[in-house]
Amino acid sequence: MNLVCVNCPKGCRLTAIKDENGNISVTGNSCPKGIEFATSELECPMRFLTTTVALSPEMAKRFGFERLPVISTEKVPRDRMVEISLSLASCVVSKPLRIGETAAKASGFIFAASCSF
Amino acid sequence: MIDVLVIGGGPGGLAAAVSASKAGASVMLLDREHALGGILKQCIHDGFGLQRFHKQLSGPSYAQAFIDEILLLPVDIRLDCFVFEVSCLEDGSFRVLASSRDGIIDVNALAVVSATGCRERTARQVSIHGDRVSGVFNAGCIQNLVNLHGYMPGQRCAILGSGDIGLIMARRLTLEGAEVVGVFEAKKTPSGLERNIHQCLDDFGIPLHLGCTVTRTIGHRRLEAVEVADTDDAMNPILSTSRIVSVDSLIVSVGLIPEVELLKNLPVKMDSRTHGPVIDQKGMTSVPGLFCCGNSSLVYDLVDYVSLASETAGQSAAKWAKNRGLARKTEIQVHPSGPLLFISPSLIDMDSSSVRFFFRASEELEGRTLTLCQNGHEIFKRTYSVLRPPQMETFEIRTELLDPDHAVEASL
Repeated sequence: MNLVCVNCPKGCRLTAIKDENGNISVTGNSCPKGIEFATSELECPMRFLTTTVALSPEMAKRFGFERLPVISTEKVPRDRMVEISLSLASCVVSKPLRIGETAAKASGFIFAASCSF
Repeated sequence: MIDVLVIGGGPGGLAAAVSASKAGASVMLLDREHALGGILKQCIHDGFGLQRFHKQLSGPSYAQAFIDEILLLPVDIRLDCFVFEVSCLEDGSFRVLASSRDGIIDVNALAVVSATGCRERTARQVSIHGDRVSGVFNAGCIQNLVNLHGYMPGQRCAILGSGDIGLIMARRLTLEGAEVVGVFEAKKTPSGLERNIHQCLDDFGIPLHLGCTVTRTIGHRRLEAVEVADTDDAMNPILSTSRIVSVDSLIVSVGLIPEVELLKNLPVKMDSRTHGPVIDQKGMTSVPGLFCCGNSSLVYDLVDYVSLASETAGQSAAKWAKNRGLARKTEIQVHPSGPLLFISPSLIDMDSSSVRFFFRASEELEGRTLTLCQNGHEIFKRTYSVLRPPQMETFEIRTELLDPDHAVEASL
């Protein structure tokens, strides 16, 4: 399987092969993260999910914008990203947060504020 | 009189203001928006900060690190201030005029750092014919509307241009429930980073049409469809391949150009390759005391490099303000040749101990060597296993290796 590592801007072109015993060999990587990435891509691709949640009118005034950027505190399955992102539609933040504090929970994942306001 | 006046509160301006203040200068920072952070505010995706913080941060988180730092320093920050004129006074200092909520701000500064970022090329700059309909947006504009204000441009989008912002918005719109029918790129190779092709398009099954461009917008008041056509080697559309794609929005991501409007009435020499001013390794322009950094000097691929170069510019501006009147003693020029899109700086100040270069190749190349020569004598060389136009490369050399009497020939 040919892959592009997304760990850093270098974007190494990887080749990952799974043999009949289930062992995975990776070539093309320039660091150990490439092996980790390729292995995960073959098993179950995972990504951090960045999106936004709504702010209450009062919080929107405080922040200056209507939406608050958030990031999942752990990686989520790639194939569920759209579903998880859309499930955040009903979340509204109505108190001030510091960067890293929990802003919303959805589909079993926690989303932290990307900035303080 | 202020020592250093910084225009712009994005990553470039923040890093420059922080470093100038730490170097002991009195600093004022003006920004036209209501919050610090510049474009990073709307870049909610992760992937920033690997070089600087050794972890992947979102844009707002990367900016927050600098905002937290600047708020602890005695920097006079003025928001909602639009700088409309910078002029050079007879004594070599600068007069800066800005409009603010409290009226005109009129300040005098010994050094000015311009960190005004860059602008997007528009649909009008790439010759799309057709109806003047609503529904045609720049990628950065959509990023602002979606990420900060919660507006969606439409439900069925086409993206013209494979620049990073276009790729990132393809993913973003998909995550918000829109259908992205495809990314159309007139060139045969993508303009964005490899990993963005993978994690923004491939991850979501969004097709990338290389060698294919949008030739016409079709609609009555609102966009209803675009006409697309394959391109030949000269990037001209092949009319016989034209077809109609039904969409309600066209997102244009066809390149960035440094924002240099404010410098236009100053005698600033421009660099035809970077489209920013000619600068030395400290970010100083051809006007003594006027510095330019970040994307307003050249368009970077990584914000980490913007911070790095802007810190140098901020420190140098502070030093300039302190030792007023000390002009650059010796400078040498850098002449690029071969498939180099640009190499920056194009001027080297020999009074500094080192110089950090940034360059981009103009085409994808394998196993190519970049060399710096002076008068036929080789100063530096490095071989790159692969060079791609979207990816910037950087290296540093000591100025003591250089001969002050000859220009540097940079060739790839």
